[in-house]
Amino acid sequence: MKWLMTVLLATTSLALAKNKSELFFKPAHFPEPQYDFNSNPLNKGKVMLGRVLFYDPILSADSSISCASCHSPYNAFAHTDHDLSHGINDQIGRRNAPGLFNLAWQENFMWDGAISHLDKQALAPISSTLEMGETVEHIVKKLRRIAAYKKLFFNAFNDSSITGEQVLKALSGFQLTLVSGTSKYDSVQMGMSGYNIMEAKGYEIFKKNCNSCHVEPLFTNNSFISNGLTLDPDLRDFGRGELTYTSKDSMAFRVPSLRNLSFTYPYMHDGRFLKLSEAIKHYENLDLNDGKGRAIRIRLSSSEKTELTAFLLSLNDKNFLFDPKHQFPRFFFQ
Amino acid sequence: MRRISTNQTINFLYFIVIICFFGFAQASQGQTLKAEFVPLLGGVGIQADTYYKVPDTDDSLTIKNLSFYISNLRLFKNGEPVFILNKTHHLIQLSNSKSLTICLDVGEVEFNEFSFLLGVDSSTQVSGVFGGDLDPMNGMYWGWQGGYINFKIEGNSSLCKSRKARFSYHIGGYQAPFSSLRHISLPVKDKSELLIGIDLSKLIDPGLLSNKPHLMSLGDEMVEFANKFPAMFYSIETE
Repeated sequence: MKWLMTVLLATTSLALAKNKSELFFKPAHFPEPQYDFNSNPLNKGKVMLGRVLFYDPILSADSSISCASCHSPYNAFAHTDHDLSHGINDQIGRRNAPGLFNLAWQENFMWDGAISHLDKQALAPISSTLEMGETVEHIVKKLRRIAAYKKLFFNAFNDSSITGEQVLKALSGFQLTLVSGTSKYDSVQMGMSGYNIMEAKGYEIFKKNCNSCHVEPLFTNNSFISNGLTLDPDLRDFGRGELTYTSKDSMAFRVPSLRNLSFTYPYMHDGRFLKLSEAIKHYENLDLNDGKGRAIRIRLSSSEKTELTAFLLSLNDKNFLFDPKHQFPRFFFQ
Repeated sequence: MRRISTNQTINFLYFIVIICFFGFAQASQGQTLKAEFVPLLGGVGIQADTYYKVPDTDDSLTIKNLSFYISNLRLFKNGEPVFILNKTHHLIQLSNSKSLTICLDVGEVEFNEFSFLLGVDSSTQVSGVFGGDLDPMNGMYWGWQGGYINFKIEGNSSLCKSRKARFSYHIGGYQAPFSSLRHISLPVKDKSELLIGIDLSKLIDPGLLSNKPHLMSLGDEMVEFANKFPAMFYSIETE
């Protein structure tokens, strides 16, 4: 029996890894991506440049903070154990740094959806005085002085001019390759594995209670809803309401993906819940609206909560976490 | 009315003529339309970093930066479009005199109306990032809300009670209800050269400078500011 399991496990990992030689891979059970790859075709050089930029603190005003400072590969590109993002001069930001994966399937970005396109997203943390406090004009000036970057830009764009457009397109190029679709859940979807009893029961509970917002297989419906959190009196963050000035959007935040949730804690837009159990508890005794006018009521017994948790843990994707293609590009910085 | 005070400006005009001549020579047939934007204050053509009087006051004003986008250039004859340039964006900047003149290869057309969008159209706003005039490194971009700034004017005035007597108006926004994109339409004479005046006194008045020296966030005030854009542009008739 044991050898059968080993063989099964080995073939599963092999099958899951099969498509991963491509720069961007779409898991078979995923919908078509939102991102228009024709506007920014991926190539090896561009993804490499984007990866180097992602890890280079040169993007911040005092060269102390890189994208990876708050989006670490080993935390599914979130910032484990930090409720709010960190910036230059020991500043603390206003929102929790979310995990970065499956961005090609996302229509808009940030907790409030303020950014309409992945290519422009990086400008937000770059220009925020609480985060990187830099301008893309100045980043371009700094990069133009570094010989090694000249070469990387040439390899990426067949053009050595180094522009703001190129910096941003390279950053999206790398981030588009961050696809998390190799969790246990995914292997079950592909018919290569099966749930244990706890997980199977948890899956049923999930489908009944959570799936209207955290829609499979991305585990989000990319909408913005108020999930009953009270206003933090210090942060005074009204979410999407600050953007649209409508009461409907007051305290509405992005429905985050539940993938990789063991690594992306603390939870919610301001990281107010340290543990998954606290997040689940929040939904008890709460009447929610799914954004389409339907009321959702979640009432779970303690054993149901344990089963639900067992299923949610099957969304952790260690293959993604430890994929060497996404890690710190040591060769460049040594 | 317009002051051409330095040799530099005259040299520059020669340069424009030569550029337009080459544009003309290259076109297989037809004509080149030269549209020149002329920023004015109280009827006087302005330059960056120069002192001017705020109209109707004894206070002074300098402009450090005047930058704006125009897009979707069109020519009409009696209301019918005869020339359309979609998805072409020009960044017009006071500090870059070259950018103040746009040469268009319009072919054999008759027209009596010139129109354009002041700002970056909303479909371009949501279509990712671009290079050239639309490269975010031109400083015409809001990072926090992923949108181009349509119009920017910055400077100093003795009327401003702000630090260093500065004023700065960064006007952006492309989503309802806070869009600052405006359609500008001007009746013009059918000529190969258009002079388009930008009367900044329609935009910046003593009240605004003293009460609201900075405007950089979305809201009703920004919409009101943008509503003044169309009145600012007019066709300067020469001869």
